[in-house]
This record gives sequence, structure tokens and C-alpha cells, in this order.
Amino acid sequence: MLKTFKIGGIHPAGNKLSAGKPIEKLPLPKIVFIPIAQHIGAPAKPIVQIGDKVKAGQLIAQAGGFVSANIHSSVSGTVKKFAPAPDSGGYPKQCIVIEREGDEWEESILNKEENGDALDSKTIIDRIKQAGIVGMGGATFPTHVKLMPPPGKKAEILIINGVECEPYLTADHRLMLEKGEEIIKGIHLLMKALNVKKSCIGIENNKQDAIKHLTELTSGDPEVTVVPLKMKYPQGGEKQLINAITGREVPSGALPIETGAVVSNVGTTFAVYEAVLKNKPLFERVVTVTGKRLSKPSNFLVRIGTPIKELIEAAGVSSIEGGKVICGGPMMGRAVNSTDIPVSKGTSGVLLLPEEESKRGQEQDCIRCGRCITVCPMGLEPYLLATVSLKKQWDVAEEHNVMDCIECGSCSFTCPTNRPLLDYIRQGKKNVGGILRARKIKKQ
Amino acid sequence: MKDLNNLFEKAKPFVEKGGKFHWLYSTYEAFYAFCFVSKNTSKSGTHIHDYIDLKRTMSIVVIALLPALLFGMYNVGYQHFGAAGMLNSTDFFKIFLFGFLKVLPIIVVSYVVGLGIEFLFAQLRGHQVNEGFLVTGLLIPMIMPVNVPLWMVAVATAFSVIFVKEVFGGTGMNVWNPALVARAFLFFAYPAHMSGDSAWISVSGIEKLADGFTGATPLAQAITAETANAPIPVDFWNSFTGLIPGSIGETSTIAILIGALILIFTGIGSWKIMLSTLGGGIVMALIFNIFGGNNTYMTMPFWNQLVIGGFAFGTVFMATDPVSSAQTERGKWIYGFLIGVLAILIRVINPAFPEGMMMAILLMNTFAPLIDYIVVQGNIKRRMKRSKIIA
Amino acid sequence: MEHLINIFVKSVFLENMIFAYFLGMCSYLAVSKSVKAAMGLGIAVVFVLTVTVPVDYLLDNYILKAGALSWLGDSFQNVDLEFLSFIMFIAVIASITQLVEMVVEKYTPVLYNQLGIYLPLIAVNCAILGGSLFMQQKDFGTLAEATTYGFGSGIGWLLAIVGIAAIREKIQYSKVPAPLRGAGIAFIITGLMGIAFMGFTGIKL
Repeated sequence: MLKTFKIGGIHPAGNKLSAGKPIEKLPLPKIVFIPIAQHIGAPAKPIVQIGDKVKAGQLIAQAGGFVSANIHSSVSGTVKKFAPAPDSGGYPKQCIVIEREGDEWEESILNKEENGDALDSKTIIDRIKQAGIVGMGGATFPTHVKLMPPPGKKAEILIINGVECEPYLTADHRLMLEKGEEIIKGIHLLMKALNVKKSCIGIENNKQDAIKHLTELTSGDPEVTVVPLKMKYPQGGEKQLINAITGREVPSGALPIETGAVVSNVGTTFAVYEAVLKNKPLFERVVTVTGKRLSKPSNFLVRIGTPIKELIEAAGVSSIEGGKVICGGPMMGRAVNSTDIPVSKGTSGVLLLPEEESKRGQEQDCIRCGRCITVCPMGLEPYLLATVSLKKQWDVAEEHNVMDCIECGSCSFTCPTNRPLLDYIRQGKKNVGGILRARKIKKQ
Repeated sequence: MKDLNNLFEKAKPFVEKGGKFHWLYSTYEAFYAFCFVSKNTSKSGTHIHDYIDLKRTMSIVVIALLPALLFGMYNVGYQHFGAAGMLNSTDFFKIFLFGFLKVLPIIVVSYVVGLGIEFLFAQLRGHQVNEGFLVTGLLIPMIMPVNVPLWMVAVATAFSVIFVKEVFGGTGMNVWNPALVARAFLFFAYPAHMSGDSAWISVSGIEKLADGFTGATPLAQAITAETANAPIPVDFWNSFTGLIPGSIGETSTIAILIGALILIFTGIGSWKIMLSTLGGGIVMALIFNIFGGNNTYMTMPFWNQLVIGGFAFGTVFMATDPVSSAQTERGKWIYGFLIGVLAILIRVINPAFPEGMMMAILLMNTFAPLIDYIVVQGNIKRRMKRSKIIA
Repeated sequence: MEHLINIFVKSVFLENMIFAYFLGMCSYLAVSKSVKAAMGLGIAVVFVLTVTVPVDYLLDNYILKAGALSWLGDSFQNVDLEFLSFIMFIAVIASITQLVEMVVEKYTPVLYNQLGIYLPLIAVNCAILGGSLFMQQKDFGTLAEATTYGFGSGIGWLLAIVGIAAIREKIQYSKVPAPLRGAGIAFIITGLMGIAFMGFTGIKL
């Protein structure tokens, strides 16, 4: 019996079109738009002026607080202006616009890797912080914060997330196949940083080649084990993955560290390796560009700030008429209204979904079948949360733990009457979140 | 199909906002959605959707009902010619045709009356008509005795659609299963037509009944036998295949099992409810077996309890009705189990209602919201407890 | 024992105060908007019934009934105070309700506020008086029987009010036609619940 998380979950069609495509370097863009807020927390503060010459990997914006991350230039060139560009949510966000000239990297970036045996926990975390690494699975939580558990809490196990449960996306899959050794090194660095002696790599069963590859690489390693997992969405969710691997449940409203587990994505782990042993900041990442209408679904190594239209063109489509462009996967990604949006640290994929695939039926009245309850991985009652949110009964929504929702979209996916449950619940979460914050401030 | 689409496109300006016939929009939308898929696409939230939607759900339930319905039609003919003693001289098609012609009018009446009211309400209240009644409209005839007068079907359908469904707001809002209430309504309003020995077999046009003919259902026979303290005359295999008198759709356990398999494999019917109902029925029958003493009905083995009457039909098609059953995971188990227990309990100890299944499901429909409430409150407490341990 | 179980089941399901006799309807309709309040009132009713019925039973058998006072001496053999039963029963009920009210106010003020006027109104709740009067009519043989009957009637009432409260909580999200909202739909629900409970009529116990 393969492991998986206990409650809920759905099985959307995998559609991993680009699984067989090796990671390619995307030709460098002419101009990049680097948002100063690519992470959860305070936006970074720019430290360059208009007209400054920068090199790839140079720090251009400094972390704006403890929960924040440094931002580095992804190309060499001239800072043209500070201008807003739309992000995947559709809101304009402040960006540093850099026009590329050549491709000159910061000298401190090493070509060969350093020996990491002598590094201690503090140095590793410090280097990760300097490199501006955030969770690259999409949550974009600054990694150095995660590596410093709050006082009194102790990490026991490091879990590496190679699940990639979103349909279509293959970036992590390819990374595991092609950069397996580096990832293992990254894992050891993270373990050292956290001072834990045990680590598991969770990989879903549909990536047999990756499971095999990493199992071979870790065969002589007593500290790292590869755990094949049964396919089920949303296994890549932090809480679900912890449950699947350790069997523990993250308490309502608490951080995963409560269970003694720290989760890190394979992409992040690779970035950690590069940052610590090669001194290379996070300024490029693997992005899957896919969709059934693309002639060439691919996995690209892309510089942060590249407009996604260049990715789409490189994947073999000239027009995006009659469909949707989605940043991220089809379940949790956001449909965007412009292809000028830059790739950021959390962009794991760009998906072109033709209209017939993304069709949503007419919303009808709930027939109370309870499917949403069956699939909810958090054990909530989505139908109830959605209705009370619609009726604006925020207190009831709070009582029913609306804040526990991880917005995985399983309920919307499965609802036979096509109710956009998640949209309603997000409304509820937003308002309840506001109320909770207000209450906290009042208390202080 | 294309011509049809053109027709719809042509009619569209008239029914859109500001058009002459805008008040007919919900009807237009209903027919359009019935013929084609709706045209809206998702803007935010989840971008892909499961293949299952309301339309498909309802169609699959209708398909799952078909084996039982077709068998019911055959059985109506079979019982008729059996009563006339002409089974050997009548061929299969004639038997089926007889049943078909008997059952079809009931179905037509139930659909016409029910859908008529649904469309009326949809027009008046400006909401859409959806596929919900396709199932209810087929369930109503299937739980009627074959000799029910058509006007009664009409009255019962009207009653249940108006007072059980529409006053609560239409599909998905009702608390009780409309088909069951229709049946219960007739049962209490016109008991003479809904029970007794004359209701179950169509004997019209038979000049001389066969020797040893009885029109009673096995359940009624069981009650009679119990009072006489005689052995219960239930033949397991006849009841299993369904060649016994009874409501149109409920006699054949095997046809219902086919439907159950369809529902379970497509994930439409809740296997949890089916299993727990079955479990509840078995447990209760066993309890009666142990404590029943010399009461013959109570000593009836559970496999016989499960194949007679509406138990199988209720378990598969009535208890699993998503709208009126419990929604929560644990709630489904409790709900199903109590149905099973109550069905056997009422059937055995209440001679006035051999049809215990119907009443048991109605009763649990009543308490399904309470079960859900308790389960949901329990979930909240559990989550709170979990977070308190840490904090 | 079996006899007591029979009385209990009968009073909960067969002779349900709400669905068989339609007693105690006013508070049943008024306090059934939320399960919590319904539960509180239901438990209060259970408590009051469980206490008043046996007390009234004793009252009836040792004071009120024809010849009940014979324990005072032979001269009281022919005294029949049965005409006083209404007043005496109501007095007992009122005092016990007062007691319950004080307890509820002291320990759960929230529930006290939620129940509002309906808590003192238990005193004139027809289900309570009905319980005592039915007890008198049924002529129970022992105190245990009367207590069981009172308790069972209370449980039946509790079941009914909590059931309808859960339904009403559920249908507050339904699109009930405007004219029927509130009391209208509550009456329809009660009627349909009555149909569902009719499955028990005719059970021979």
C-alpha cells in the first residue's frame, strides 16, 4: 500500500504533456520586469538607481523585514525605470525594469561547487537568506524564516516535496531527473541547517523514473529516503504531505513546525544547493509551459522577470485567442488577462487552456450531495462555508474554521452543480481574516 | 443538431433582457441546457472541472433505474397472466407489452404533472428548471402499486412537487424525498387503493382467476402468517428475481442490484449509505432472530428480510437521494444504519405498515439535518481540540 | 422493566406530544430557529416533565382522587377532590418552572437570554400540563411508570423541536417563497414531519 494523506482528495487527469522534455535554456529576454514583491511578507526595498549598470546576480532590492526576501537582478544591463506591471492576480505591482546588454554574471558566483562539509547551520541559513530564496512551489514563503523554527519548537524531519500534484506541471519532475545529485546535496545542506537527522523525499507514483533515479542516488544514504506516494490531489499541499509521510496532522491554525516537520520543494532545494555551494542567488527557475494547443510543450530555465509571452512563443504558439492563460497549474493557478506578466520566483508553470477544457457549467442550486465534504483534504464542510460566505455570516464561517481552507479547489472541481465553491470560500476567508486581524490589533 | 442550434440562436433575442418574451427566459434556458452544454467558462478559482455535473448525475440515476423499471413492466404482465393462469400460453413480448401499456400512463402522468408544475414555478419565480425532476418523476411510478388510479398519481405528484419541493425553493432545497412523500401521501389519504390484496396485480379483463390465486405481497402474507403463527411463505429466489406482487419497480432485487452497481461505479450513489443501510437491516433482523422467541415473523432469516418489499429499492435509490440524505461523511453512516434498523423494526412490529422502508426513510429524512448538525459541531470540536493540545 | 420500556417508546414515538397531540406548539414554533436554543428549551421541558408528572402523580393518588385521602382516616373515604386537579397541577408546574428558570439564569445566562419569555412560559406550556393530565387519564399503577411517561413525553418533545430546528437551520439557505418564510414554512415542515412520524401509529406494544 502506497502512502497518501488520509482525508479527501481528488484525481484530476494528469495531462503531464511535457514530462519527457528536458529542461531547456530560454533565450535571454531583451527586457525584464523584476517585481519587488515576489514573496509573502514585506516587499523588498530597491537599492539601485535609474541608469545603474547591474550584473546578473547583483542585489537590487533588499529584504524589507524579517519575513521578506532579497531580490537580485536576473540579467546584466541598465536599470531603465521603476514601473508597475500586472502580476498574476491582475493588480499592477511595482517592478524594477532592466534592459539587457550581454550576459555578464556577478564574479562571486562560482562555476565549481564549494565543499560544504565545513559549513555550519548559521552560515547556511545566512547564505540562503542572502540569496533571496523563497518556497518555489508557489507559496513563496521565505525559506530562511522556515529554517529558523520559533523558540521552543524543534524540527525532527525534513520533507522534500517532489509531489507536483497539479495536472500539467512537470518542472519539479524534470528537475529531479536532471539535477538529482544536486538536490540530494541541497537536502543535506537543509538538514544541517535544521539540525535534523532524517529526511524523506515524497514523490507521487506517476513519476516512476524520478523515484527510481533518486532511490538509486540515495541507496547508500541512511538519512534520506524516497517515499513513493499514491497519486492524489492536493498531495503537494504542505499539510497533506506531512500527513501522508508522517501520519501527523497539522493543528487548526498552526504552522507545520508543530508536527516537527519542515517541508521544502525540490525546486527550492535545488536553489539552496546553488546558493550555498555556488554562491548563486535565486534569479532563474524552471517553468513548465504547456497546454494541449502548444506544438512544443516544454520545461524552460527562465530568468526571473521574463514576460510570459516569450515563454509561450518559444513553446510554439503565436496567438492565444480563444482560451485562457494560467499562471500556475489548472487547479490553483490564476487566469491572467495579459501575457506581459513577468515570471516571478513562484511561477511554476504557464498553462494555455483552450476554452472547451476550461468550460464551467451554469451554476445551479446545491443538491447537497456532499461530494465537496468527501473530497475536502482539510475535513471541512465546503458547501456550508460557501453558503455562509455568500450570506455574509462571517461569524458562522469563522466558527466553522473557514481559515483552515487551503484553497486547493477540490470542492469546485468536484461540484456537480458547478458551484464556484472556492470563490465563495475565498471571499469568506478574506473577510474573516480581516476580522481576526482587527481583533488582534484591538487586543494589543 | 445544427438546425436545432440555429433555432435556439434565432429565438435568443426574444428572450434576452429587453426582449418581448423575456419572461420565458428560464424555459428557454432550460431547454437549451437540456439540448446542449451551457456556454459559460470559469474566470477564477479552479480552471478544470470533474466530468460529473448535475445533468450527468441525473441521467445516470435514470439509467440505473431502467433495469428495475423494465423488469417491473415485465412483472406486471407476468402477474397479470399468472393470475389468469395463462402464463404458459403467453409469449414473452405479449407479457412485456401488457405491463408496458399498464405502466406507461403512470409515468406519463407523473412527468406531465410534475414537470408542468416545475415549469410554472420556474416561470413565476424566475429561476431555472433543472434535471432534478427527471429522477423524481420516474421514482414516483416505480413505487406505486400497478392498480393505482391515474388521477391519484396526478394528485400525489402535485402534492409532493408543490409542498415538498417548490415551497422549499426547488431542486436541492427539499428536506424530504418528494417521491416518498407522494407515496406516503397516497398511503394515508387513500389507504384502500394503496394496500390490501387488490392493489398489486392488474386483474382487469380477466374472466376467471387461476386457482389458489392471492394478490397479497409477501410482506402482507408475512403479517397474515404471523397472526396465524404459521411459517412465513417467502421464497427467497422468487423474491430475489422479482416475480412477486409488489410496487412496480421494487420487486426485483437483482435488477436493483444492477442499478446499484451502476450508481456505485460512477460514484453517483453513496456506497456508504447503501452499505450502512444494509448493515442496519441485517443487525436488526438478527436481533429479532435472537430475541424473537416464537414469533414467526421475527424469526425470518435476514436474507429474506432484505429481498422482500421495498428494502432493496429504498436502500439503493431512495436512501441515497443526495438532497434529502445526510451530507457529512460520518452522518451518512449513521443515517443509513438507522434507516436499516427502523425499516425492519417498523415492518416487523407494526402490522399497519408492512412498508417499513418508506416510513423509515421519511423519518430519517426528517432527522438528517440534525445528524449533519451534530456531526458538523463534532468536527468543530475536534478541530478545536487538536489546536488546543499544541497551544 | 419491559413494561417501562414500552411506556417510554410509546410516549416518545407513538404518542408524541407534538405530532400526535399537537401540544406545546407555540414554543415549538417560536424557539426552533436555532438548534442550540431548541436544545436548551427541550432539555428544560424534559426536566420539568420528568419532575412534575411524578409529583402530580403523588398528588393525584394521595390527595385528589376519589378516596385518595383515606390514609387520613376512614372519615375521608368519600372525599373526592378531583375537581381541584387543574389548579393543583398548574401550581406544581409553575413552581418547578420557577426553579428551572433560576437554575438556567444562574448557570447559562446566554441560554437564558436566548429562551427569553419562553422559559417562564413553560409554566403554561400545554405539553407540560398535558403530560400530567394524560398521566391522570392513563391511570398508571406505579410511580415509576408515571416518571417514565413524563420523561418519555419530554424526550419526544425534545426530539421534535431539535429536529425541526435543524431543518429550519438548514432551510435558512433555501429559496423559500417570500410569503411562506417564517411561520408558514414551519407549519409545512411540521405537517411533513407528522407524516414521517405516522409510520409509528398502529404499532402494538
